[in-house]
Amino acid sequence: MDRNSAETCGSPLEEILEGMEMQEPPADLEGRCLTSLRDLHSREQFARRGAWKPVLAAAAAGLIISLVSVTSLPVTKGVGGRAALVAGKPAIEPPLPMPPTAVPRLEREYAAEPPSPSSLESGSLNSPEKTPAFPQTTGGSRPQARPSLPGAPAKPGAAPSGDLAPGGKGDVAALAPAAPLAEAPAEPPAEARREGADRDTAALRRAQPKPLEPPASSSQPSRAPMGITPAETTPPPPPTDYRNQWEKSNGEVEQPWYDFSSERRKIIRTVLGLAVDKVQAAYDEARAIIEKADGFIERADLRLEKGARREAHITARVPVDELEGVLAQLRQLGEVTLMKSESQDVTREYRGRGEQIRNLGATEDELVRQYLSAKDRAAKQRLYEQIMSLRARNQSHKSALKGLSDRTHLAVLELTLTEKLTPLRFLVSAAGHISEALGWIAVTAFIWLPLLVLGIWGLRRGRV
Amino acid sequence: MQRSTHPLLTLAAGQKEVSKLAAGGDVARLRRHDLRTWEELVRSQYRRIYNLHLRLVPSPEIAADLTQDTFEQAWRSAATFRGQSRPEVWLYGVALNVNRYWWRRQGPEEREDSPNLDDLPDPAPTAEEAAMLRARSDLVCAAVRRLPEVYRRAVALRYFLGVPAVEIARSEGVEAGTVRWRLHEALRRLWVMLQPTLGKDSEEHGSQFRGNLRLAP
Repeated sequence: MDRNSAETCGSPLEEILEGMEMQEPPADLEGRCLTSLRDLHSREQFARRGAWKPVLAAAAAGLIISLVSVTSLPVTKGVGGRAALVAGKPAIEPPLPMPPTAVPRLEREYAAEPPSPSSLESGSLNSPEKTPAFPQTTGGSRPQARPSLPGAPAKPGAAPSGDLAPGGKGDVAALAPAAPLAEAPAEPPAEARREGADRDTAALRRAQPKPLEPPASSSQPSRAPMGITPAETTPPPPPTDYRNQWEKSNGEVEQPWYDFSSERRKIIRTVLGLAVDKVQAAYDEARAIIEKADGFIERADLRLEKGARREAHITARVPVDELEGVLAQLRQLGEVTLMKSESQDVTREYRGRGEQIRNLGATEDELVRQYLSAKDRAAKQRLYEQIMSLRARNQSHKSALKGLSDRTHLAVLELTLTEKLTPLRFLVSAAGHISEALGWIAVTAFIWLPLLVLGIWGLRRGRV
Repeated sequence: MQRSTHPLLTLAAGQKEVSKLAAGGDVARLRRHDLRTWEELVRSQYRRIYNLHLRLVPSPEIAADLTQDTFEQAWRSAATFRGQSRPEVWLYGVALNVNRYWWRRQGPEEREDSPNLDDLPDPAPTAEEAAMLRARSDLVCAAVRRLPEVYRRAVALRYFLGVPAVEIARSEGVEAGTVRWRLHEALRRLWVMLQPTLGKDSEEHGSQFRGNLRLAP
């Protein structure tokens, strides 16, 4: 007998306990047990897979968040934005040099020789050479150098426009007559004076040779009143035919206050939106089209950001006559998504300011004439102050009219180039938004991540 | 008693069958929840587990449910099995735990309180009493159910399932002598509980029973 039997076959009670017959279990018990185990097995497998899913998702999210965080670092952004990294060049390119033909009319005017005091001395205060100060209205950078800007002398010793005399001798010195003192100024014809206020002052000028007399007597040469020195006996310049000059300039408004055309003056602003395949190429082409039409880029913004929709904005000034042609060429670059045109008729203001300038010019001429003929020192002083005040008002009007003329001759073109939204780009854009959302998830990870870990841990522990 | 029909032979055969499980690294497979290994364990042990529960609970239906619960609980706690004993012995321990929890859920009124056994003499059944008890094994099982937990566990493992005392000790984490003493005390208590039922005078055969009880080596 083996060891077990030796242990168990002792007392009758042990024999009874060991000798109990085994009863047959229910027929389905084995199946029930196996089924329950298989059910547990399948549930466990599911739980294992399910438990790995959030872990994998968290790992993937962490990876994406890390990538997003790295690409969002300020050091990688730089000043030019992420476009610099993507395109390998600055997002906003420096403006291209403007062709000489694109230099606007007013700039060329500034580039001209500044008026010299001799123009004052000659009495032709409204002559084209006497260019007034004009504020820079266009914000675009213009690489072309300006030889002399208003307010800055182009030559050493030359007085800028508005300054009457160099060397600090006094402003009145500029009013020194250019005509011989002996020649008394002839009174302008009455009819010319009457019409000069509201019509062509050239006629008035033609009738007035402007012989100026000295402001003070010759007995006081060194201490002339208000510093007026005896003028040199230079012949007055011939009168200018402004109407002919306007026509010769082929419509370019050098002196818009002598613009007598009946053309309506309108400020035109056009907004054009294009959906293009390649923003960079379309941007370059649009710039070339604008510059070819003697326009210029006032403002440009090219955005090539990774993950975002690429787009470019151009604000250009295009001659009104060329606007239609430019728009037609720009439309060829892509699909037009927006087209808006606005116009404002400023003819009344344009004409009104011109008339005011001409009136003031005529009045100024008259005052200068009186000043030259005045013999009283006090009268000369009074006239001088009146002339200076009048001249300041006239300069202001001229500046405003120049700006108005500029706006009416150069239409504003606002061009927006947007990348076409293909399915791939849509996915990229969506991925960008998702990455942004994941960034927020990462920010709040200190809340949900411990809860997730605890939940997984508790789930696994509860199943076992 | 013929060897071919002796229950111990059946037990030994079952243990040989089960021992195959522990031979080939099945502990790791059981802990890993290898379904094939578990199915093999179920097929080899479900009868024994069922009969164990059947002797410890009042109805076969409950025994079947507890058998199923035993395997489910063993599956869930497989990670705690360290292989200190054979897998089937560990499974028996799980079955006894399941049975104990079931009794605990039933409440204290379901199980009759054991009488105060300290003052009673050790009885010993006569041959007639033994024959009567063998015929009415349900009385013995009811008495086993009324034993305290440690004794009931030792009796079930040793006599119902045929696990040697040494292996019981290894499985329970106690000394082998402790198991043997528990078995001795369990038999004594059983006979004290069964004797009034049989209506015998315990004074006559007390010394005989004491002398026949042999402790396992």
